Amino acid sequence: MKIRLTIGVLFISIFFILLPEPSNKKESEQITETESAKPSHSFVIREVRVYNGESLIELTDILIKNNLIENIQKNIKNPEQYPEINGKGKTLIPGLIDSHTHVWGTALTEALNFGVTTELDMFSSPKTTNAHQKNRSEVSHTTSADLFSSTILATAPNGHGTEYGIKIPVLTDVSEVEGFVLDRISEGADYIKAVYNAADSKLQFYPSISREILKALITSAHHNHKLLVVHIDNLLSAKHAIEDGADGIIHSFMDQIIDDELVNLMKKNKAFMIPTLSVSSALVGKNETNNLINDVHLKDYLSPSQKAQLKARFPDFGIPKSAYLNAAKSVKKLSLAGITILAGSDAPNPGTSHGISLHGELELLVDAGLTNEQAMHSATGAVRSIFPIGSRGRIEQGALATMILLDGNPFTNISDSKKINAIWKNGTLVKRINYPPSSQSSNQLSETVVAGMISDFNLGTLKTRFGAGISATADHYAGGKSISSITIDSEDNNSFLRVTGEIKTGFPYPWSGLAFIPGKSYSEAANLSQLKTLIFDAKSVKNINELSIILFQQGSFQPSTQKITLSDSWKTYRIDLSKYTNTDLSIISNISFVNTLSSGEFTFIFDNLKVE
Amino acid sequence: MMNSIVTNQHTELLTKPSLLRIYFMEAKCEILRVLRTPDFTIPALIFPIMFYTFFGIIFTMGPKMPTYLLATYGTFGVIGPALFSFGVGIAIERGQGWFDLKEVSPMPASAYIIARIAVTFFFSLATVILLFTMAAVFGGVALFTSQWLLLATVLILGSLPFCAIGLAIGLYVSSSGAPAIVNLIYLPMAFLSGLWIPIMMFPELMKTIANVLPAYHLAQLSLKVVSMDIGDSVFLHLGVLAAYFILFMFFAAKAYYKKDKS
Repeated sequence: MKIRLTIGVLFISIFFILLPEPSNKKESEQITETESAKPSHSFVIREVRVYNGESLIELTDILIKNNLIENIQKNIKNPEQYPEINGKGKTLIPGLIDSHTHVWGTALTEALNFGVTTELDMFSSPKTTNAHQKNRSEVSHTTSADLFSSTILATAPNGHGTEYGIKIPVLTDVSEVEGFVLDRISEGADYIKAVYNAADSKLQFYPSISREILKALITSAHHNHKLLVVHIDNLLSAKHAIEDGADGIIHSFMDQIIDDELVNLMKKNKAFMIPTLSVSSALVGKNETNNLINDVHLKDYLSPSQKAQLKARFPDFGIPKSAYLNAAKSVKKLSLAGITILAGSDAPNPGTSHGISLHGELELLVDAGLTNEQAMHSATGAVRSIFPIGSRGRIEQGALATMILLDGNPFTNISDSKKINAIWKNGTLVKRINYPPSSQSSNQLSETVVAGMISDFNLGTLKTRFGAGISATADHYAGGKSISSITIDSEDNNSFLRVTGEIKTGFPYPWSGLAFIPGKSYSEAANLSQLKTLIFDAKSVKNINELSIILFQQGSFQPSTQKITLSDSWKTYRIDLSKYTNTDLSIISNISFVNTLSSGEFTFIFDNLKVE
Repeated sequence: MMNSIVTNQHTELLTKPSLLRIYFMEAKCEILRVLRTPDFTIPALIFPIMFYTFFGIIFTMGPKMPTYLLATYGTFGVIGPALFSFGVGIAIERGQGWFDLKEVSPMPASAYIIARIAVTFFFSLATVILLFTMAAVFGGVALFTSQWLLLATVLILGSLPFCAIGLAIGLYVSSSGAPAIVNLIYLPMAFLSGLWIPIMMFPELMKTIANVLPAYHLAQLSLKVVSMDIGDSVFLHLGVLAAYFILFMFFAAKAYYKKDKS
């Protein structure tokens, strides 16, 4: 009997030992294994002003040993003869954190180039983010910023977030919420982001999830131990979100100044706000990014595509410039009430770009009424007190040395944040990528187009004299339902294009028509800067009286548009290219001639496309 | 060796019987009886495993679902044996007169109860091992060893209040009515406590109702082990379970002494 009992106990013990354990044990956010860091770096900075993410320490020494911050105090001894840096007159701050971005492509390298060492992504495909999220625990990861991400956001069918052409799961019912949240978490979401607009708010740009779904999202995120942040664009929706227990709201709304009720509620709930003033100012058309593009301390590090992003403009939404003041005043009110404000740029929306725009955001926050110290805190220590980002945002003993040495003092002059002397990521000095101003590299890359006929279509083909030719285009490529097709027709020995399409609702900005790709391929741009006019013949056949001529600039997602009125007879139209303000004609990737207006089936004919 | 055991037994018989030994022997006999009636045992074990395999593994709705349902079907799996072994088992033995025979034997009544608890624990352990195996091998569930162990402990000990409920039923209800009554309690309670379908998917009213059900609280305790519970305090859940245990033990005692008099 005893033997049988022993065997039984042994069997059960072995059973429990054999049961599988999670393979990647919970990521230890504080990276302390210096063994894996190769090469390891050690150095001393002397007599420097250190902002540790919470408070300022004047004239201190700091010792970095094997990539870790070993000691911060006056007169540190250096028996090992590590290299010494004179920090007199300089300020050492933690690597900056941008709390609101969207990451793809080279975003994280661009960010690091401007001292932004951590980005909190607020909606990207997990396919993009997962590799980066893995990297962040590597000490050797020193060539791009660390990434935290919400992965896919929670929105309604056709809601904000669905317009970017990637298919995402949407929420229609409370019962789907828990599964949605668990799916995001298993995809690697570090926190959950929702887009919400109250049903009874005045502005309704997109369909929104219901308040019940928002509540369920908050509950579900919280019992799965994740923060829930909510994108809102008006006071009422913000109130709903905070009342229902959201941890924070994104965007300082512009419909009105925040009222005391919401301020008090946020204070009580310890909620935070990411105002993203950079994108708000871009939305109302405040043209402030030229300051960034032309800044002596920044411009050499700006890549051509980043420059294009900063130059890009939102279409005119008709929001008055004064609305921006509401956003700014709310930020001041919140900061006076002691509510946590986090700096976020919302790059790369039009008028913003990774890294560089955070410096712009800091200035906007100070303009709005934050003290310099509050602004610096919003991009460093404050983020850490809210998001689970490990030791990032602090300069403290035992943390990895991720920090920026500034020539100057952002605590007396906020724009000194741009005077970057050196950036260290995980103890390694970052080699900043420099773009010499003379080279105009973007223009050399794209083919220069000279005047002449593009195509009269008499060869019966959609190929063109230069560029990748003409093709049908419609919003179904971006997830909409509109369709379009092109046939070549002829009449009296003259061939022309017959464009037939159908505009179907179901997409925020529908389009259907034809596209001309002036570059060698879809991904290459052409230089049209030598040209003045775009000329073509067109005639309305059925149900179309306005044609939009849209120029897409490489690297920008917001095209600019001119419109013409079509008539029932052939007419020659001349489009003045110089009227496409805010568009860099040297990097045009697509010229579209589309119907954006009348819904239903339409037909127009098109011929003799040329440039002068 | 053999001799010494025999003499030991002999002397014990002659002097004073060891209470522990009575408990042990009775439990052993009961477990043996269960093992030797596989036509009852096997289906009882298969039932929760089958459910879990269907809803937790084959028709799973998300990558975290197998873990979530492991906790809830584990709860489902341990409640069944407790209710049936006590509720149906005792009612049948009462009907057969076996219960009366045991009552008049010199064995203390506590041995009878403890043996039944042992059977329930034995059953629960078997269910847990089978479920964990399915979850680990086919469901891709991975937990820390401490979590696996704690989950097993919570589930097995958590069957105690249901033993009490079963005991009360077994003493009150006739042998022919017991299986129906037990099923009438077991299955709706399992459903309403969110053991089959996650409680978050319930409408508000049903969520509120779930709060009074002991199975809901045991499920929440199990879910707490895997950090997927609704977020209430451990003590709330333990308190409700303890209250149920005490209440039904009281009912059982009342029923027992009432029968004595009659």
